[in-house]
Amino acid sequence: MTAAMDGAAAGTVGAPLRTTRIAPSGARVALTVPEVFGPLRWYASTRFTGPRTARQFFLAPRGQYRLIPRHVLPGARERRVPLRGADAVLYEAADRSDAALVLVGPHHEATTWFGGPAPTEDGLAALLETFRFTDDAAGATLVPASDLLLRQAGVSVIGRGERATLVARPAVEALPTLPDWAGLRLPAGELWRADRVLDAAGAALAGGTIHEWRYLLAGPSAAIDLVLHGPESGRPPLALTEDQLLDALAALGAEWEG
Amino acid sequence: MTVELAVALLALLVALFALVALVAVYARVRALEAARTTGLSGYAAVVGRPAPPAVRPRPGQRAGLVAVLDADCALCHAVWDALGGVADAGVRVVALVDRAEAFAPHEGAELLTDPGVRAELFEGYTPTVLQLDAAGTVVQRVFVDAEADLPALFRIGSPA
Repeated sequence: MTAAMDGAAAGTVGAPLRTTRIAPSGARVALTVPEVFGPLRWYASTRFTGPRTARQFFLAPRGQYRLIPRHVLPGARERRVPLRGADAVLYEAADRSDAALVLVGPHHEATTWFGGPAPTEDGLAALLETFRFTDDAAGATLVPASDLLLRQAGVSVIGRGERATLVARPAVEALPTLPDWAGLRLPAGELWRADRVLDAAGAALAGGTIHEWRYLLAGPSAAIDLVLHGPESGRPPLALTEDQLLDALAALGAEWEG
Repeated sequence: MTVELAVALLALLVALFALVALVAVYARVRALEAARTTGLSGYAAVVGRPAPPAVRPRPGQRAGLVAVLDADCALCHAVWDALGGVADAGVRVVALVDRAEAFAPHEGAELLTDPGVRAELFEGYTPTVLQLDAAGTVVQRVFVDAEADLPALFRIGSPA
C-alpha cells in the first residue's frame, strides 16, 4: 500500500447517485456513488461461524441460481423446499462431488456451497432452521436464528458494474486491514491506494493508469474498497485524469447504520 | 416404620417424580420439534397447506388460481389482465387485492378484498400467484417478475 494521492480535485465526474442497501446483517448502508463509476448491480456476502457451523453465503439478484444446473453442475439433481417468503433450492452434482443450497426470495438469492454431497433431509431442515432469510427490494437479510449459536461476520455489500467494483464493509471489520499511516483526508473519510493483484499482462496494461491501483476509503462507519475496470479487464480505460479521479473519490461515501 | 425408612421412601418418591417430569419435558420438546413447520422466516410455509375457504375451488372445479395483487404495482395489473384470459370453467380464478376499485373487472375472474385471507397468503411480495388443487391445498407458489411467462404460469400443473 502506498501513500495517498495528492493534488487538487478538478473535472466533471457526474452527479453522485445515492442509494440505500440492506446488508445481510440487516444494517442499512447509505451509499453515494459518483455517476462516472457507472450503474452498479448489488450483491452481498456474509459468513457464519459457530460450534457446529461454518458457512459462507453469497447474495445476488434473483435468477442467477438457474445457471447452476446449466453451467456449474450440469445434470445436477434439484430439490426445492417451499418456505414462507422464499424457496430453498438444493442442487447436488450427479457424482455428489459438490452441492449448493440457494435461498431464493422474490428479489434476491443467497447461495452457499458444500464442497461435497448435499445434506440429508434432516440436515437440510436443521440448516434452514439455523437462519432467518428476509428479502426486500433493497437487499436480503440473512441472520442467525439465534445469536447464541452462531456468530455473523464478514458482512459486505458489493456493487458491480461495467466500470467499477465496490465492496463496502463495516468500519469495525475493516479496521485491521487499514494501513498504519495516515491517508488523504476526504469528506467521507481517509483515502489510500493499494496494489492490485494482476498477472504480468494485466499489470502491463494497467501500468501508469488509474487502473493500476485499488482505492480504499475508510469513513467513521464504513470502508469502501474500489476497483476501476480498464484494459486489464478487457474494457476501455476510464477517461479520467488523476485529479478527476480524486474529484470522484471525494464524492464517494458509505454510512453503515446498525 | 422407622424414620430412616420413611425418609428413604420419600426420597425415592421425589426421585421418581423428577424422572417422570424429565421424561415428560423431553417428550414434549421432541413433539414440538417434530411438529414444527417453520423455517427461514419463522412462519409456516404457504405451499402444502390448505388455502382459506374463501378462495378454494368450488365443488366440481379441478383447480384454483389465486393471485395476491397490489393496486399500486404496475405488474400486478398485467397479471390481473392475464388472469382474465384464463377462461376455464374448471379453474376458479381469484385475485386478492387491497383495493378492488383499482382493477377493471374481468369475466371469469373474481376480485376479493379480504385483509384476513390476503394476510394468510401474502408472503411479502406482489404479484404472487398460487395454484390450488381441487381440495384447496396450495401446490405451487410463484413470485412473478417482469420476465415471467404468464400464460405458462397459469397452466395448471406447470412447474414453478
